[in-house]
Amino acid sequence: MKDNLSVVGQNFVPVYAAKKSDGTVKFPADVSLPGMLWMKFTRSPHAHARILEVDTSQAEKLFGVVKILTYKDVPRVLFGPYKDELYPLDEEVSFVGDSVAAVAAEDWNIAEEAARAIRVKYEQLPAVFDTEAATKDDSPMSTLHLPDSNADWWKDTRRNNGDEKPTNVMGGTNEKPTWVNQRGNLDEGFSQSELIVERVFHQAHVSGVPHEPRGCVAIYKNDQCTLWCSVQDPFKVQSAVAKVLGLPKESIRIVSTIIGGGFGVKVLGRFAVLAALMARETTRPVKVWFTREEESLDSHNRSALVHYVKAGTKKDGSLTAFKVRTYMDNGFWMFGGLGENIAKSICTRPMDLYRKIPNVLWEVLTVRTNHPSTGPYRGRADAESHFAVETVMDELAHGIGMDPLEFRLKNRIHPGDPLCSVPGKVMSAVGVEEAARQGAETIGWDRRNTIANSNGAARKRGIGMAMVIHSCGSNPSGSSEARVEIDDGGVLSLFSGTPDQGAEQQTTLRQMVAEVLRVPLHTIGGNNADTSNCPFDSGPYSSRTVYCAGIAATRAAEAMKQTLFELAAEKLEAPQDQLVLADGFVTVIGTPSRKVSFAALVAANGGLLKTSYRYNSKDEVLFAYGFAAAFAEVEVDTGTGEVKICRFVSSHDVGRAINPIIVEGQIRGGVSQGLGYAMSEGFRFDPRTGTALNQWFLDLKTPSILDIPDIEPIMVELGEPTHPFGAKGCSEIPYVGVAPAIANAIYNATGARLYELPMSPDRVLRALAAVSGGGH
Amino acid sequence: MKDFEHYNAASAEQAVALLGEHGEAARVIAGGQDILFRMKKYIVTPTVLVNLKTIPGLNQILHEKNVGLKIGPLATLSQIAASADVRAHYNALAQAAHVVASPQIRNFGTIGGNLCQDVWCWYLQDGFSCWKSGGRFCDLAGGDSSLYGSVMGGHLCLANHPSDLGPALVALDANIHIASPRGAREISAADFFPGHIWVGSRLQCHVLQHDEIISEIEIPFRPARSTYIKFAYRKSWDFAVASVAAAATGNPAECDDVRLVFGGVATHPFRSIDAENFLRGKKIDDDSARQASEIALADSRPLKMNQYKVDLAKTLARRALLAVAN
Amino acid sequence: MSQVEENKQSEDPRRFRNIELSINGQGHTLQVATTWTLNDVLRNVLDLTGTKRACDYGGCGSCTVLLDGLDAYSCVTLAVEAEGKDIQTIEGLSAAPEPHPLQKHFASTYAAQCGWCTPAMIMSAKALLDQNPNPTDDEIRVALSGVLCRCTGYTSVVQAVRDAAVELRGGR
Repeated sequence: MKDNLSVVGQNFVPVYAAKKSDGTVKFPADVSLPGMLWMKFTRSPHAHARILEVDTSQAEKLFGVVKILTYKDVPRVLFGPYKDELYPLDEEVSFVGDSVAAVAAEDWNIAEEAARAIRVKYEQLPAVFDTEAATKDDSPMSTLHLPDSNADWWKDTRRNNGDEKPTNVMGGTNEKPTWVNQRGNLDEGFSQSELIVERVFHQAHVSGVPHEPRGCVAIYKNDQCTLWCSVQDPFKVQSAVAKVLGLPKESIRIVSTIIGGGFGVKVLGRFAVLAALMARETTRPVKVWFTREEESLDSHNRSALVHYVKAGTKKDGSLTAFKVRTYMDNGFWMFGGLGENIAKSICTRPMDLYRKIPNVLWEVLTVRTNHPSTGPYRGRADAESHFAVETVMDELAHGIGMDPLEFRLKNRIHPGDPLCSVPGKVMSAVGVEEAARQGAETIGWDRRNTIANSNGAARKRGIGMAMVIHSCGSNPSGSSEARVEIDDGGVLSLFSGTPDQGAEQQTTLRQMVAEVLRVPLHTIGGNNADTSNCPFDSGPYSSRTVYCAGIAATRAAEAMKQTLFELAAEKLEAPQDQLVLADGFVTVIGTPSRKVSFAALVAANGGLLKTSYRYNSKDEVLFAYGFAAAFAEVEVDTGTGEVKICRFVSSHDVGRAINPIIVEGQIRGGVSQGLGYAMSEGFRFDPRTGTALNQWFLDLKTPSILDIPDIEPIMVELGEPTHPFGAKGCSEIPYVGVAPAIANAIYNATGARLYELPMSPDRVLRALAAVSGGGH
Repeated sequence: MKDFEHYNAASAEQAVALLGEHGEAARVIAGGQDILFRMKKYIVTPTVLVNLKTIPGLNQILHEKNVGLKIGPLATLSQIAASADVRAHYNALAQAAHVVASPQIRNFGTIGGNLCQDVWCWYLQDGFSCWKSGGRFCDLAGGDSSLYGSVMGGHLCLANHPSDLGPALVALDANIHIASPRGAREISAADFFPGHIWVGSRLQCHVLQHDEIISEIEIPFRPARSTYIKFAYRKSWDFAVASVAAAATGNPAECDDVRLVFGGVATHPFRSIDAENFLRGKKIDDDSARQASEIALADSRPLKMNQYKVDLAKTLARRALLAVAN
Repeated sequence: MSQVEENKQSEDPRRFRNIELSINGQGHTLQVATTWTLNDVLRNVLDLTGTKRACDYGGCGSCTVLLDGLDAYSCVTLAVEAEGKDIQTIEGLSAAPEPHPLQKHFASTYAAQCGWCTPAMIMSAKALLDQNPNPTDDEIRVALSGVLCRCTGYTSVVQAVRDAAVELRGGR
């Protein structure tokens, strides 16, 4: 890790901050073009149905309606982010809110009226809502109309493919789980256990709730299509639109505007493809802007899960066995097989964190249902698993009378340990113990044994913790390419295809480039992700920007430095090892008057200087993960079930904070979302129809400014050998430990355990009643 | 929204006349915080809106010492919450006004609108059956009642009444004055909220005919200590999951008269006469407050998923009574 | 589906009215439909897109503007009812040659992350500081309790308002 840094590690004002603060940033919803049409959707009221007839006659008659598209009007071409598996519109609808028709009209209200005037006849098909029931042999299939289905695909609701045994289990069968993580001998492990705990955990769906409802504006002209789109995967949107329109990729330009909240859920979907199609059909610009209901109905939620857990330990604190069976509600759409990828991470990563557990069997069944799609929402896979894991760890520790912090640290992973989540790789640096101990000291961990007694009867205080692991950009790592350019004027630019979704990715990347090339940060040019001039980037997933795009940007900058030195050595007639960079010049060490500007070197090169680097993790054996420890202090009102969060300390092994103020902001933001997941946000469906109940903010129950305390972030900087600046991505992991830290704090305060999320007041009251009578 | 004609009323008489002329196709708009979201969600589809904000003189807050308080229906919640007179003498009302929704809503939401607002329940949304949007049964009854739902039964619609000011006004013995083409009338706050009744083809939770508006809210002065306690999942925006307005007169050792009114648990602000009778003449302490709260909710009939509201309401009742005991 | 032919279409159902709106001190003469909210007019007619909208029902605060100095939700304010009011939007603050202290501090404290709630937070804070130049942290939180943020966890927002208040008071 380098110590003499002047840009990396500093709190520069983020690049887009001023424009966000004066309201001049243009999101797709802010774009207005002459002749622009507004596009709205008619959506399915049924969770599973076949469309028999779409009657658009009433809608067509309305003043200002220009064009209507149904499944019969759009190309029968499959698209998707990883696999091509979704049609722009389909004859089968698979969740309440699925798109049925698209209407373009002169204003937003006319389009809305027209969308409502479209009359659709459906034949309802059996729908699947319960994941466990969906894995039984007598269950109907949640999706029938697959690409290789035959013409009367709806007739047998238990078959979705002529040859194979039908199943709703992704990547598996009713007998074979989607993913299995196994090591050692489980029976032996339990026979050696001196304490065994068996629990069932239920976690509700939860929705990303980005404040900007997704949108895009599409223009089609001369067989070229441009979309301004707030999406995290612009290159995937580019490929999909090209495929559906039947055009080469180069004819499609996606300008990914600043995204008003992404969190993993603003990704390729029907809306972008349909906007492009409508723009072509109408030859006018077309704007789509979801309503809040649509952003709730037609997004990608965090799966609901059920975990059956059985775990054992010896009295000395050595964990002996860990057995889990997880059912995960994937929703209707596979999102390109990510359901299998997440299953793998769910059952392996926690067992890497607790590497010392010798005997493990963790099975995950990712089940397709007729709920909306699930997707890579912040903290994906680990937010899903750690509530159960960290609650059980706490119970085991208390059961043997051991400090829960020491219990966890006794069983944790160490550098060099092999990883079951990425076979063939070994663990790089691990800062989890330092992070945990600093967090413990900050909250006053030792108070937990006395604090519960210090208050009056009705309100009880407690402290709890959780220790967690998450990708820091490493898994999945995707692909990032960065390009550094210096133009005739000597101006340096960085081009990276990663969009800004509020984490100010471009700022962090430019800081790394500025450190290498020694130019003032504010002089670095470039733009937010635009497929026309930015190289490929998989997008801001798995906290990968600082790590993957950061490595790519740094290496591209180092290559540029090398190029500059080669050119300057000639110009200055000095050996390369005597050269140094400063302020847009290459100078000879010790003789500042012998210098040459970047602009002169560009001229010497005969034009634009350009270097690129594409990050590829495949050859590294060392593997990086992010680690954190969360500590919550709560006050439980035993009369109402209200849990006040008095303090929340979130301590992170960040490697190195490139821009500390940004990292702190990401920690606080991640924790605040995690608080919503833990306490209030449960995304519910009506059990009879599968319709989402929480469609607008009043019911989404995301925390207001009066509901959460000032979160206390701690950044422990111990470096990371696989990153040039020792940095690890850190924007998702703050979410992961929140729910279990609070659950464990509630236990410390009251003796009551909660095994369901969200831990709403009614559930807290029930748990309290189960231990003893409630309060006053 | 469906397109509509918009009229700015110059007087209460004109407003009433416009409402009469257009029948059920017309609705009033005051702050707009309730009617507009219902129109955007197609829960109601008026083709005429009558704007009451252009009627002068309807937003006054007048306190006459030892006589009482007169509030115009267009007084905003912010004005009421900030009024020194209301805070000093009608505390429950000020506290209730202060916890409605959010500052922006309080700045333009009116007391009249708050009293006339309809229920919110997630079964009011597209795809469900609800009496309020043309359906013929209540999907809440057999559905997810974890958030919205009465624990005291109800007629047809089972969603709980969402108003914060309603319970406070009932606890303060307020009277509602009504402007009507059939002659002005006056009704107690308690009687203003009948649960759900049919008025024409509308299932609504207040007694105004479609061509009537509130002209004044009047609270007679009593030397009462009053309070309003609200419990909601979040401390901003949310409707009460349960709330209590309590008022008591008399010296601490022996209260003369007490009012105990619940919000969020019934289809109207629910006043427990039985609990009040039990407490009359007694000292309000832990024990009597506990018993009173049990009596108040003795007839509760929770739905499938909202039993917890009963216990929650009892806790709030105890706390509110103890708060007004001294 | 065929392109719709003109002679099949119904009449324009929109009820238009001519109104005068005063926005950031400037008068605008507009023809608006009765169904258009102030938010619709600001964003879709006047291209004043700094004011956002995350829900359209008064449930999130992103649409906050000032009406006669009070913070209001423009999404549940009919445009035809905004006549005669002094309307202030974020663009009013940006018109000055230097950024307003609120804008400056929201930028430097990273209180603007995705930026969607930022104009609304700033306008709510302005309404507060115009009335109360020396608010406590609790008063700041209550004043801003009508705007939700999904990104920041609110700490940096409160800090930005606090720092801006200090600067507006001349550093005291």
